[in-house]
Amino acid sequence: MPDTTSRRVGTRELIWFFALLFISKILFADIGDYVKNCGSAGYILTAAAGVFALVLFVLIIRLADGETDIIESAGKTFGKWGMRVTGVIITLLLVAQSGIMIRVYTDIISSIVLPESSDVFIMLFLVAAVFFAAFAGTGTLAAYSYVAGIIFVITLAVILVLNIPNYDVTNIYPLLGKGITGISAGVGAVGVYSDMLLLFLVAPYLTEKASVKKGGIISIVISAIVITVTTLSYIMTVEYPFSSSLTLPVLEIAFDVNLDIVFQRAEGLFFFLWIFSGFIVTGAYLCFALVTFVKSFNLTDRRAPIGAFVFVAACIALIAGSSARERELYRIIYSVFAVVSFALPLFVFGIKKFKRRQIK
Amino acid sequence: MIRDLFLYKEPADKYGFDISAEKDKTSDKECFFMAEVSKDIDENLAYARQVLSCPDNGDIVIREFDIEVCGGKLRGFAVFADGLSSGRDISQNILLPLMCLADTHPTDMDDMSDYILRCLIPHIQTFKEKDINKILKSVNYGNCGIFIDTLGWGFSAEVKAWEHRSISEPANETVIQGPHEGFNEMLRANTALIRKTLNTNNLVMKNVTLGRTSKTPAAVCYLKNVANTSLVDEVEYRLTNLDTEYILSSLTLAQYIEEATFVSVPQIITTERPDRVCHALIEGRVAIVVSGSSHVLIVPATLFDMASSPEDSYLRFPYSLLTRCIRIIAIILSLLAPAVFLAVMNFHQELILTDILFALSKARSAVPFSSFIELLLMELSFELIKEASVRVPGPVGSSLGIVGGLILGQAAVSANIVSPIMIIVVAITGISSFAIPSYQLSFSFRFMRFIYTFGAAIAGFVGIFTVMFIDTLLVVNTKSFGTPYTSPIASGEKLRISRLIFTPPVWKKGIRPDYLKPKDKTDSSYISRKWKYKKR
Repeated sequence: MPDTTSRRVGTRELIWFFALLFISKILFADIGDYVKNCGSAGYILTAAAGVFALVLFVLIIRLADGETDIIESAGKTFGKWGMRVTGVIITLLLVAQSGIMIRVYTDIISSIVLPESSDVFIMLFLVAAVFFAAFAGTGTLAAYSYVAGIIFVITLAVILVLNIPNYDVTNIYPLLGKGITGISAGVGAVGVYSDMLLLFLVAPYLTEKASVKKGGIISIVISAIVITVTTLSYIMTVEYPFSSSLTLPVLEIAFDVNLDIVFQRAEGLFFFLWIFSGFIVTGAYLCFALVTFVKSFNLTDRRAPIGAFVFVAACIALIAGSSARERELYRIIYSVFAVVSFALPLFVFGIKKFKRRQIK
Repeated sequence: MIRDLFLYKEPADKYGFDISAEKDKTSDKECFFMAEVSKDIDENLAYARQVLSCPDNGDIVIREFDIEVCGGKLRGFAVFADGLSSGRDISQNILLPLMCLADTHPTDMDDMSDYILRCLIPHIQTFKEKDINKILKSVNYGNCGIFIDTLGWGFSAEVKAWEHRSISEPANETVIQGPHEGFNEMLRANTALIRKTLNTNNLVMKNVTLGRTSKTPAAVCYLKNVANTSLVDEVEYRLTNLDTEYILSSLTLAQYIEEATFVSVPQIITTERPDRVCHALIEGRVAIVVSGSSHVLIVPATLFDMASSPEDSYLRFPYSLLTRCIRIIAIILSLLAPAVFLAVMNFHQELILTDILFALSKARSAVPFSSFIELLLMELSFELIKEASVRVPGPVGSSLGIVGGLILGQAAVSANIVSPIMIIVVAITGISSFAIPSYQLSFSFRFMRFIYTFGAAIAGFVGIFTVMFIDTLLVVNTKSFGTPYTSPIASGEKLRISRLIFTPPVWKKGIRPDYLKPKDKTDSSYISRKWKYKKR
């Protein structure tokens, strides 16, 4: 049961909350991977991934037939135990995702922003933020993301605009990069939109007027545009096929910006994006893990398991250990999460639709 | 004296005093209780003396008198508080008619109490009452209680006439342009200021009493054609469901009725300005006026209401736009300037230009403390000066500011205890905090500034952003009387950024805030300046 005293999520909050979750992936190495796969056509790949994600989302929404809550649909389709199994799968994935994200964010902060501080020390800040985010609840986090999402996009735009002197338009040639096969092979880029799964958990927290369909479509469109523009900007800044040793393309762009007014470069803006998106993303995963768990087992107190969930997420973050192991673990969890994010809603809503048709 | 030094004297007995526990509330004196006015005047008199602690209470006056009715004499007494009631009104409008005109009692008047009320007491606000406690209670609020033998009824006449402060300029919300009148401590004077400004029949001022014992009078004010009914009901519900003995001030009341006590930001607007209350009522808000308090409460409040000044609507559009932008910058500086400085100096030196970094390092080279301790010392000194200057009398206060700010600052720099750059940072922060229009909001920022500074000292920007994230989440989570505190941002309503940051010209402010959900959404037509479009 959703907490009636907590805030509800309106369509605008929904749009920017999910746009922020999708867009935050560009801060990671993903863009660099696309450019490595497709060469100068990386931006076409990201645009194609956006379109593909949109098609998938619309397909799932059509299968959902107006009932977009995946836990409730699982309950109606597979019964109480089916609902619980679905809930547990999603909860485990989200807690794991939250934990590994804490680790990834910590790793970058410790290597770039606070090189002299220990990982555990930095992790404490993220864990504290995640705890408060989970405590505040989905509605508050979404309301917060509404402002943060807009600020995020504006800050990113500032970095890209300041980087204009470093653009080399010839970098976009050849237009198709490594060829059409590279683009089609890069269909896995749709994994950027794997947080779409959360859209099918948010329904009980929406206001009467809010719509998952509208919110989802607009947020995917906004993020597709932002991701494509950022990829294009990266391609024009860094000459193909070589990239510097940095694995974070946006940071690489920020390093190239020469401000020369009070601040030397624009990496401060990147830190801002990185830390803030880190709090929201890790907090969102844990928030949704909580609500899924509570709903699956019909619990009444959403706040009671927060401590336990945060502890588990922190343990996962600590287990990751070295950077190499962390990257490996991140890749595994990311891939599993991406597959389940699209497969589970398709499966649950598909079976539900099929069963309904049979009854008719 | 010299002789006394060599003589032995028996020491005098000294007795200490320790407060002992009260055995029983009724203790030694025998108390009795009456619920209604007795027909026996002696019983009433004894009870009044007991309840009002006469003759221990020097200011309570009990005046006994006789009234002549149909040839016979009836005993009576009047009780009032000296200094709270008008002696002239009591003499002329109560005692004189009772003592001199009473014998005109017509035979057809069955009920003597009605006759006294309707024919003998000409005072304008008088009521008869059976509950003796209610009458005696009203004496504490300037009323005069009147009791007459054999009636079984008492009378209470409103003869309040205590000394009060006249209407003067508000001390804490001064404006250069705009009205200069402010509320005082008189409930009716305050409600009158609001009513004469708004001048509409839609203005409702519901009376409520606050506090189980104090029974402090208060008024809930709203425009019945604008304010949301559920909001008005909620305000009344909260006010009537307070179980406490005394509420003496609106600022105390605000703490009783606000939602989130442990969040740093204030959730209720407190103002001394009638024009601000009137603007709020026109928007669809509810005001609470409390007797004995010159601050009126306005609910609901949002962060952006707190950051706006009453002067905003009196200034022309370009000027108000400029002052609003300056205020936003001031808010950011007052909250973050010391923390950002500390983070840059201690953790992120690579961010700033090398020349600036060298200049800062050179300025700090002779200072023996770390920049955090240096900042903390300066901030604490500044807060001390601020706090001390509030407590000392006006002329001394300005001298204190000069001594504290200029002389001590200069001396501290000369002694290499602090660097000049730190003085600049703290001074900018201090000046910025004075630019925040709401005293309570500036308090909140003062408090949060220390938290941000600690965050910056621990982990630079990571610490600042963590504090900012948690603080913002708490603020976003806060509601003021059902309205999200960050409205119109993140309230689920349509966001009008232009209206939020840039105050539109007065003639364009036709729409009431969505988040208040008023009955009437517009307060002027789309084209308010009809003169511009009408044919002459």
